[in-house]
Amino acid sequence: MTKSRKQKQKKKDFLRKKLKVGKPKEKASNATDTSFVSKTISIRNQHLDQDPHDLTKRLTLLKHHNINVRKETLIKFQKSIPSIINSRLMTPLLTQSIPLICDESQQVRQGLIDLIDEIGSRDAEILKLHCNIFVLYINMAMTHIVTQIQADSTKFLSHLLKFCSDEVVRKSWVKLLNGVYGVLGWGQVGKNESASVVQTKKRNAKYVSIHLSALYTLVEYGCQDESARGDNDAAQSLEHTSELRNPYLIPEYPQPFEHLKLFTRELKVKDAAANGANAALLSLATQDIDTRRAAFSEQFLPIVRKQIEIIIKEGGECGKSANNLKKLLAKVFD
Amino acid sequence: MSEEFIAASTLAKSLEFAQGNDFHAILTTLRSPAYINEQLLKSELGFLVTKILKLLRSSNDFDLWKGCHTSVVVCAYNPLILSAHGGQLLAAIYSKLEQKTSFYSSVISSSHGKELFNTLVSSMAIIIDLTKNKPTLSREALVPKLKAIIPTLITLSQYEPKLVLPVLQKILKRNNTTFKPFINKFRTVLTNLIISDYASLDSKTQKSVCENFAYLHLLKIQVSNTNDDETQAHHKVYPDANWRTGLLSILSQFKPIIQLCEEILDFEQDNELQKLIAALPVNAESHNETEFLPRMKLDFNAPLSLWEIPQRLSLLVDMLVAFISLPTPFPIRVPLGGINSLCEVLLGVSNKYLPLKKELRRDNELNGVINNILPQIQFQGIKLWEIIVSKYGKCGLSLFEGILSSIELFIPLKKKSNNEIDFNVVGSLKSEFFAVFRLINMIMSHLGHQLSTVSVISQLIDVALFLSRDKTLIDSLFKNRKSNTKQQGKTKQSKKTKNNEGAFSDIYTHPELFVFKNSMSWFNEINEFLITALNNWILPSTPHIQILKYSITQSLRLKEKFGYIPETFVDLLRCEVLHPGNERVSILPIAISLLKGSNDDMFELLCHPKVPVGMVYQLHKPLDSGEEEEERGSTSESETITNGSYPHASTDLKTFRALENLENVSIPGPERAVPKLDDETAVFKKRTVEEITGKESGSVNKKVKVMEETIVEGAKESTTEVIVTQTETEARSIEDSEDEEDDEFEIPAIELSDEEGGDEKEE
Repeated sequence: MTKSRKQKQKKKDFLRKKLKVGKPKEKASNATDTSFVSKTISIRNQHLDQDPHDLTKRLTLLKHHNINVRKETLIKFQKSIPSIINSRLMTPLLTQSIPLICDESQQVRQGLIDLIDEIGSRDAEILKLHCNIFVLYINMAMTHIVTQIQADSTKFLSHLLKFCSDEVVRKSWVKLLNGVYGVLGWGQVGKNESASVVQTKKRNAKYVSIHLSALYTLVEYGCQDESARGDNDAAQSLEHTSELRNPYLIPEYPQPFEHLKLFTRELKVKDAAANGANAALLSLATQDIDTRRAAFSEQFLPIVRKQIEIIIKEGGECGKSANNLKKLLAKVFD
Repeated sequence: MSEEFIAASTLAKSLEFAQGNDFHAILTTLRSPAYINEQLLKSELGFLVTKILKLLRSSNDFDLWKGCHTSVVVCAYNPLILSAHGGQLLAAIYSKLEQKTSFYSSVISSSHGKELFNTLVSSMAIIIDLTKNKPTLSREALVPKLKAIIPTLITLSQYEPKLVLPVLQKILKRNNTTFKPFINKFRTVLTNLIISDYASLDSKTQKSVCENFAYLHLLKIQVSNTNDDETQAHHKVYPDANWRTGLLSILSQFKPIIQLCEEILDFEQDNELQKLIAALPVNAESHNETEFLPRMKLDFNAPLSLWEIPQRLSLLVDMLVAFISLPTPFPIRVPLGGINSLCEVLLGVSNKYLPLKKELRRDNELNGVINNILPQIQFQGIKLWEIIVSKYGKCGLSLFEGILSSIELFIPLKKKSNNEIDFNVVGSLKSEFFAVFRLINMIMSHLGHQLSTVSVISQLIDVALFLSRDKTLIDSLFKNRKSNTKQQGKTKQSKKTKNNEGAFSDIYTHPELFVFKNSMSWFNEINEFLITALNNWILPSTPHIQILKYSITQSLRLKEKFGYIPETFVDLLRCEVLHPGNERVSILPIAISLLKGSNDDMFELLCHPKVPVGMVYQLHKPLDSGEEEEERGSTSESETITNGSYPHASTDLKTFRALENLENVSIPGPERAVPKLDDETAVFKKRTVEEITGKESGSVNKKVKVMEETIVEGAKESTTEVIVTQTETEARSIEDSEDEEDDEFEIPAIELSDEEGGDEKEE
């Protein structure tokens, strides 16, 4: 008897329930009841426009397809720089805005220059911190296919040099010189003859003079120590020298050991012979003036001397700045 | 005498059957000083010695082995036995050795034959060492037996040079007159070794062969003296005449070999080199004995035969080194200049500036061999210089600059480039560069920053850093592979390559395991070199940064490996911190975090700079006694003032006074007085700045310093006023204690000044 009851129960378990139309499906025996009832729903501060002053939301607008939006955003940021200069917004802002060096619109580029100036005049250390990205994009601009962007690249360079000259020349001396030479059409890397021909044909006196002045500042900061550079900022230079004499104090600039490249994985130069002397130069650490000077006089000086003479003969605005450069070179290297 | 030791006779009995640990125990017991007792000598020790002799004479090899060891222990620790029975034991061991030597081949073929010879020779050497220099003992026991021992050893040295030569060398140096009859026999043995087996010996034995050969020249002096004396009595006979002829005969053999190199390189391009070669020493009278080396067989058609040149040079250098570096009983004359010019010539044999002969240029195989042997020839010069500099040190000071400029010739350069180092060749010359760095380190320690030629140094730094990296063996493999696959494209070879890939899988998956790592001795040498470079010059930033990176990464790696940073790396880090060069920031923080655990004094000091304690007190030391008197007045005044300032102090007055008393005790009188003024006024000022807000009170205090003694009262008043203001500003309830404070502040003012006046009078 007991047996048959058990058997029945077992059978019952395996019976298949028939589903019927119009009736809901029976729930499983182990289903959890998730239904709940509430009388009120409270929603805390529903702000669709959460914070009109939250600038992080605007960062993406820097990549907006509309030129005006990008420009406006840059201006907006420029205006709010004083309030955010010490916030942590600066790094994303710079990493997002620096690529605009290669922006196709002239206005946007101008806006970026203004922004950089604003930041630099407030706190140059922030620019120093992002020096590497700057140099990367300036280099990109210098080799850009659009001539206007290429032409504007040196503007960025000279504005950058204004605020963090020391960092720039220490980190990427040879790279930038190569770039400036390319822009001027004296190119060495890759022997980009056709590009330089285009350049010389379209040579716009205004741009050439800007290029030359950028080269001037680059050489000035790179190959001259503070004492020789001039008296326009004597007090500052004094500060610098005292800094130099105290290598044991806590440095006043960001990333003091970056150039040691302790944590970067260096690419192996596969065939050093293929790239020739330039590869050796690019791997050179140009932390001290002597090395920079040697590198310049070895690789760049003969060309610049030759080209300058041509430009001086042509005269005009370019001739003037070329003459300045010539004087500087004479002062530094003779 | 409470003698609680085992009787020697008991030990002697058990010696016979002792094995393993028992034998060890017996030997350790025998070392006890209790056995050095004359009363025991006849009975007990005599018994022991007879037992040992029995062991030595037994035909069982194990017993013989035991006997040798026991006799060594007994002789070494027991002078009684050594002097009474040493000769006996020596004779027993020697006779066994002679017997075994005559059956060398059968003995050596047994499993323990080599060990047996080793034991016999070494125990004999030890007993000989023990007996020599003891006049009676060596005269009676040693010297007569040497005549028998030496020929046996010479015979044995043919088979076991590694074992026997050091022993013979000692005997040769000390008892050279006894050795004289066997010289010629020994010479033939040695020349045989040099000619036929030299390359198969290990480097230590090679060295001792050469040294023995050199020591052969200690002997003939008297012979030559007696011959020459009659005819050329007026000539001064140097004691090293024979030694010098030996040395010169070796030296003269270099020239013909170098002249052979003329067939390879076009020496005519370099006149200086030709002059140097022409000036190399030559032996005019060619002795028979000097030309024991066979002639070389070189053939351009069999390029490998050219390797004989560096091999022969290496042999000659080894022998020359033995001649110039061994200690001799008499002073020797060494032709340093000649050897130096020889080295210069050797280093000049390089295809860096000299072209190959035209007719050789086409043969690739030949050129490959020539490229390989030229650095080896140069290396011989470096080897020689290394010995000269290490042995003669500053005597060669004038040569050092020349050595450095010659070393520059050793650094391989890429062809058709301006001064680029060919690192592929550098990698293959690692052990040679190790010697170069040893040499450079020795030179630089003498020269230092006086050196003007930095170009060599910077090149060597590049080489050092390149060689200090781990060398991967598979880089070239990958290069070749890529080009292969490009060429092959999609050919049918897929199956075959698959098989290969299977075998190669380790190379692709774990390429980091196929590397050569550097030894610590290499790192030590390199670090020393880098330290001297950093100490003496401000390097350009590229090598400087590379050095920094090398030191940081390597010390971190070694720290992980060993758990501590090796000493030379610590030194290098120190040096980098102290000489930041062109760096804007020193790597001090990095170095300190690396050396966190270790208590490094220098870094401690750099992190927590301190002014030396005594400095302040010596600043205003009074010069004359006249001034002193004046200052006494002023000091007493100043001290009252400073005492007056006490109430400003928030600290307890009593403790302060106690502190001052302590100071008084520790500081000598005249010095104390003035600085105290300095010190206390400083305290005074500080307090006022801290606690008094009003500017007026500060100005009053300043006046106080200048005021005369009569105004002190006024000053006190002003200070009391100050106190009032202070109590007002502070929330504390000092009002209650104000009266007390007033009391207290007046009393010490008088007390202290009185006390100090008294003190000074005493002094």
